[in-house]
Amino acid sequence: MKKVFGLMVGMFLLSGLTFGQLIDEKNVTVTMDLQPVLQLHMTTPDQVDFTFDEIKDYYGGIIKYAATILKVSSSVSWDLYAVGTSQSGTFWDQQVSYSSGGGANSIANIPLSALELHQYEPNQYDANATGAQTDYSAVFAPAQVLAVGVNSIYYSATPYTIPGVDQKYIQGHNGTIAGQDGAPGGSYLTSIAPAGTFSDYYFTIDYRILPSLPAIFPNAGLNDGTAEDIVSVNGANTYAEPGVYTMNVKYILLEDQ
Amino acid sequence: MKKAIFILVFLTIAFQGSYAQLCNNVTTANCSDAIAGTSRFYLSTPGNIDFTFSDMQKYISGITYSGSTQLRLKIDEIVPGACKWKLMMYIDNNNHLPANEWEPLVTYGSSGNVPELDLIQVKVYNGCGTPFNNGVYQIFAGNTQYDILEIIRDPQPLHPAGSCDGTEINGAGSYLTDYNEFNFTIDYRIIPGFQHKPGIYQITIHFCLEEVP
Repeated sequence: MKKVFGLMVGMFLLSGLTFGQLIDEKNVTVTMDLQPVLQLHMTTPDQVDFTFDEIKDYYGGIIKYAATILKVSSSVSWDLYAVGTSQSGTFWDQQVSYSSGGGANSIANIPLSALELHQYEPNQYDANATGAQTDYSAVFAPAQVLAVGVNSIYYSATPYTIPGVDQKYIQGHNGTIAGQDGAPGGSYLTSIAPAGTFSDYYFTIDYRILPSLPAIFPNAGLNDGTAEDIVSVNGANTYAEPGVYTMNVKYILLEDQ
Repeated sequence: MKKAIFILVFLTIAFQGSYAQLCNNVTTANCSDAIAGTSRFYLSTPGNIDFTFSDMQKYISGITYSGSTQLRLKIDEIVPGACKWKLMMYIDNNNHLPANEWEPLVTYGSSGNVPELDLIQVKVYNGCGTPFNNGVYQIFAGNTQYDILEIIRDPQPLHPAGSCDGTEINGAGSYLTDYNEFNFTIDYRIIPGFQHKPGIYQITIHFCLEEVP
């Protein structure tokens, strides 16, 4: 038994002796904090004014080409949508009424969907969208051709609630399937677009309002084609009350969800 | 008796097992010990490096920390002309699985992928250009835990200090007398790109100095 303990001590000493040579180690801990960054650069006037003071403007509408330019930088997959909103979340806010109300059939409730948008380039990440239109890339139809809801802005009283799968987005869509429902992280600063196109991170937005005569806003409608023009909602012979109206357009950039 | 021998073998293995890492026990004793002897291995800079990516400019251009780590060696010989050593670094993700990923401490979002170990770039250099791949950003290309990047390689012939011609000096010497051969400066760079899941991640880089036969 003594021999065994002697052997044990010997082996321990032997293994301890191996520390007597040159060996040492130092350590560096590297921590990486990847914070989510989403930046939306918008070039636009503070206010986009449409003044209808000539008959041809009522008939032909007014288009503001590239009134808004959107540039995206994001470190995560993202969606971008436009949402119209107002005090009621449904109609334009009437600031001033002209002509003492404009007559018995005049209606102050102009639907937010009367504002039409056109985006360039189209939405590239809308594979699972179910709406009639997945974005605003359809060109504006001629004024005399009815296009109910095709380019009408998505509107909501709760603009920060993401639109449903049947609504329009500018880029990406409701859902999180990679490559189908959201644009990958990137930046307009580094993304190289194919010749003749924009990158996935750069958009121009055109605006159109087409009142027609009488002013019923014939293209106003939901994305499923439900008409919201003044006559369809309020009955025959109704029309928009003259006045000053305002609404708010928000562009929301958010992580893909 | 058998029990005693079993315990003996077990304890001996266990005692030595704590050193069964990449930084291996050496079999020769031609150099002085760096712990109990007169050789020295200094990490002369803080041990933690924090990369914080909080704006797009950093995501696009990356973050570089120059000279964040400095290693200084003083190698004394016991057997004249026979002391030879190697220096290497290896990456460690704290046994996180999969073995090719950084260890996540916190995640902020849902989209994207956990960064992989080959994301970090390291550049080792000194005044005489003695490191292997001196002054070149390298990655841990094996992209797995304990992947190694050699700084002074082995095996190779003994290269005594003092030549300062770019050879990998691996003999006795000191940063006090041959600073440009026994001092190693390390830069770190990360260019994350946009495909990663937001969060806080961690790795450890080990620097191992070891005598070689």
